[in-house]
Amino acid sequence: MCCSDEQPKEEPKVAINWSTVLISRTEFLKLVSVVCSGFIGMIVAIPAIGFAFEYFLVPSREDWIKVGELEKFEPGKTVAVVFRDTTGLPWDGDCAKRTAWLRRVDEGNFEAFAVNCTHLGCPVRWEAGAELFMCPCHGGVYYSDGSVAGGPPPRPLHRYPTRIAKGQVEIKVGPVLTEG
Amino acid sequence: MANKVIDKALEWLEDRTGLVKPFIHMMLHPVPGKSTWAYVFGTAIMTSFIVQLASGVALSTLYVPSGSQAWESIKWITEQVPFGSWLRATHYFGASAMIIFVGAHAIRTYLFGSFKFPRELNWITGVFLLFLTVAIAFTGQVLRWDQTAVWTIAVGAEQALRAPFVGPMLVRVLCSGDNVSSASLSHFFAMHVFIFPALLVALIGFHVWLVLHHGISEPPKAGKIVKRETYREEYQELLKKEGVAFWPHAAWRDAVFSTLVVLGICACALYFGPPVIENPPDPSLINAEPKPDWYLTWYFALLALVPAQFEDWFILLFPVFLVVGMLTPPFISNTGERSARRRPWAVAIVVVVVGSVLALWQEGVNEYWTPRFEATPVPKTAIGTTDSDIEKGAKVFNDRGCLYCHVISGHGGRRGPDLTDVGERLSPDQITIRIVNGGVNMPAYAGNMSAEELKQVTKFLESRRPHGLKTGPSTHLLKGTVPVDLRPEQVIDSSEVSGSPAQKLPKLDLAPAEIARIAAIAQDGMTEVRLGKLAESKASDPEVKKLASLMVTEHSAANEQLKELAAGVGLILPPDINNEQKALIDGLSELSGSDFDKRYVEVLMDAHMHAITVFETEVKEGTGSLRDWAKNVLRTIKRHHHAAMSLSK
Repeated sequence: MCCSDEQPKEEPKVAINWSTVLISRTEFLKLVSVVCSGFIGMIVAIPAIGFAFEYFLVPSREDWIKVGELEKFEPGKTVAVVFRDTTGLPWDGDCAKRTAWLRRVDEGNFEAFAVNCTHLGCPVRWEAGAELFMCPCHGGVYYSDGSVAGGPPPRPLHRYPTRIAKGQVEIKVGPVLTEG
Repeated sequence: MANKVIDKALEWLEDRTGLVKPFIHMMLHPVPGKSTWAYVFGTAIMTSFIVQLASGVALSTLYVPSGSQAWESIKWITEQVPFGSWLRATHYFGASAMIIFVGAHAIRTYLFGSFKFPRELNWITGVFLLFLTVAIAFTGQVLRWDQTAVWTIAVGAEQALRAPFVGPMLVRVLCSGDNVSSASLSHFFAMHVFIFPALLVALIGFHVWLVLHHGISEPPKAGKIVKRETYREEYQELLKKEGVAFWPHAAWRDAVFSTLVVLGICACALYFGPPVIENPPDPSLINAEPKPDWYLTWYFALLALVPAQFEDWFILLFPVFLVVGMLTPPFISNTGERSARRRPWAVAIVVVVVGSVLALWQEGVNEYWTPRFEATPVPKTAIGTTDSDIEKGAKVFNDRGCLYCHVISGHGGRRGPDLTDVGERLSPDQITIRIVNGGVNMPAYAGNMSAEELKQVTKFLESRRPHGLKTGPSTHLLKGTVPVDLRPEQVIDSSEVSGSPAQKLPKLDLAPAEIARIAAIAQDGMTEVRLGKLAESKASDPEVKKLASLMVTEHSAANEQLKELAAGVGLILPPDINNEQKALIDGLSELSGSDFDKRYVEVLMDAHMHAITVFETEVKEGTGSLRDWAKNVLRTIKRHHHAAMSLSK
């Protein structure tokens, strides 16, 4: 027989046939299923990713913090001052403590240095006998003013701005690790 | 009777689940008969992983992933929980076992050519499994949340910062914030306990499926070539001829070796105990020396040894190079010979890689690049004299940080050269210059030491000689007995320093590189004057004699200017030329006639061309009066070079 009204039976396929998606029930249902799955995926993934990366939305902070009374610091000496990170969580405990090296240059001038070596971030120690900062990781050395004296560090020690307010010495701390 | 019950039960299970037959099929599938002990490493990894899963889950019921409590909880596990210490140790040695066997398995499959057709995906999934294993081990180390963990994140962040554009973003990702905090710990915990294990299980599942699908690769034979068109047929033929059932003929070796692995992990755990937690995760404790666990010590050493100017490139590109490098074998050689006997490059690569890792590991353990802060001072017995200046000098050496980087008689650090016999190698002036000016890795002590202390420590160092000490002539530092080639202003004479003996020398404001450059220029200038004088008397060509006189006049003038400028900034110039330059002059003085003329002009051209580069660097990177001087003199140097060139024609 020549003309038959029956449609030839199609082999089922997974992929959507885009040319017939608006006229074939099969293809359209495939599209509906894919869109629904995609939608669920998005609903689940976006908050999860948001939670994992929420720190990108929280702006960086810079705060002035007190590190001690003016009279406590002798001119010409470099000492360690300990403070708490202002961006921490309530249950950080000791891991939110930070140190800075504070040097009283003369009566009214202070210099505050971050402890992170500018090479790879290890904490530098102040050697009072040698008047040098020394890094235990790769032997980087800095002079008392933070400039590089030897070894691999590419830049001088990061400096925190300092000020004296109401008889207290204050330093301005912010994110140290992200400064280039 | 019991067998009938079991058979019936299995029948029912197979009928209701359909899983019994595939399981049996998998257990009994044929594997090449000659598979040997070399093939046990894959299963060894899986066994170690199971040990990790079990011990890890147990630990997760005890450990508290909070910034303020993690350390306490670990202390509690180690000291109070019954078998807690052993549990922690098992988890640590299980991780080490995983890493060791991942390495062994990678080497075995590489040398056996098992990554070739059709098993390319086995290799590729394997590479990702390798990196996942290192990643999960690294995150595990951080979870110990001790002082090292906290600084490890900071150091990792500083490295990530080197990435262009995305550096600060990567830092935030690593720390989960701007700084290391409890949030960092929580994120590392989620990675180590949920995300990485899930990825590992999924990827191991896929990897094992592929092994079952393609079959265990047969041991390679020299001369047997893998061809895409024929491999599968040949493999099936091989299985027909000499295939044996996996269970038990190959599985028994896996079982025995895995048992040894588990026993080994337990034994190490019992004997060595868990990694000691020394200091709490308090970033305000400054005396930290962060170090990775043993399997990353080689990378730690590599970073320390890479020259500073390549560091950024290295930190960013080396991991990429590793991943890409490890993924290439199935793409560049997935057919052909499998036997290592016919693959010299493969063997060479394995030997070089293993050798390098071992050598770097050794360097990482020794860590000579670290100053030794715990070094004990040089004792009186090693000082060997009661001369008060030398004793005081030893005190300066011990107190001013010299000890951290230099060894004397077995005391001190190895960052810098051993100074036990330095008095034999260097003259007192050379010692003084080095201390005052420093070097690339050494600070310039000019601003940190008084003239008196400098005199004492130089005397002490000068007395360091083999076979007992000799107090050599210290006349170089005494007023009135200045040797011929040392000019008065190059002598540090403490009797001329006004004010208290503790008055410091002017601090040098120059970078170490500039100091070295100026010293080199000074020595070159002195060499030119001596060469010129030699040529004035020896040259045969009158033109050459004229040029030589010009050299003497102009270089003498330049040397004088440089000396004044250097004194002005507190820089001490070398008093004499170096041995290479001395040898050059000696060599020339042996020639005569036109040979001499030719060689002299040659030397002039080379020296001035080199000098132009040095001067141009000084003009570009130098500072203050020295740079300005260099700018002027550069013209003169170029003129000399031109003159020498025209004479050489």
